[in-house]
Amino acid sequence: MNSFSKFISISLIIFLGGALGTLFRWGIHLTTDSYLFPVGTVIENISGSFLLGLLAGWAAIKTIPLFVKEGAGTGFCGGFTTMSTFAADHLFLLKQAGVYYAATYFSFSLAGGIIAAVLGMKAGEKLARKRSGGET
Amino acid sequence: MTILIVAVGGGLGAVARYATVLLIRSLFPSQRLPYATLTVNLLGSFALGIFFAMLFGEVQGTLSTEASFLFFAVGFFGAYTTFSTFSVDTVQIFSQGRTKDSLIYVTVSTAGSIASFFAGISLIQ
Repeated sequence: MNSFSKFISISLIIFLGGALGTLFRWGIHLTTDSYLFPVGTVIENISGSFLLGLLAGWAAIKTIPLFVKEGAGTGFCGGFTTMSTFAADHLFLLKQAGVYYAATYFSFSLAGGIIAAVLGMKAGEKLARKRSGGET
Repeated sequence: MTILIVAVGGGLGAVARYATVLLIRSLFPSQRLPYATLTVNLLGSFALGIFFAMLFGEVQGTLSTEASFLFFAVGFFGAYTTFSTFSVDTVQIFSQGRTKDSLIYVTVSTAGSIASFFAGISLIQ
């Protein structure tokens, strides 16, 4: 496969993963839209960080096929989580709820995302080691 | 129809992120920080700010059902930016013992994205 057709096929996989991740994100948004606090964005960013951590932890021990890595990682997890909505949410919180809520949202998202990534990476490494029967 | 608009916007946003990341990595091969992820997050938040100000004039918190909102705000810019790569990258930088770099990365990514969004809004309003 030359590099152009490789770029095109990886882009297609990322398109599909990104579309699917975005639909899941939107679904969570719709079901949590009635709350003032952006619960949806928090759920997406934390669980998506865990998922990508899982993938990264697995990849640190065992090799992952490029299409799985790009489709699930770059596509799905990238499309499922969002930094732009995270940024935009602060404006609404500042306007409608006040600085205390905005600060809580900021800290919760940040700490939650990083802790979830750590847990995901540890779990991914563990799963990959288990899968390879303790050989590595 | 609504589902299709959201899905295509998100799919295109993810591919645009991939292309941007490849471009930034080829322009700046030696990286102290994940500049590619930083670029998409700052750029995407800035663009979302511009879009919000253009669409609403006065910004509101509720989800709009307008097709352009679904395509750009939920779909394209939602997927163009990423939080999961940011989290995992931060943990990886920190676990390499580069505490200062991880703190810089966290601050510029989060506070920077919020500032970029506000800058995008005030550029139009």
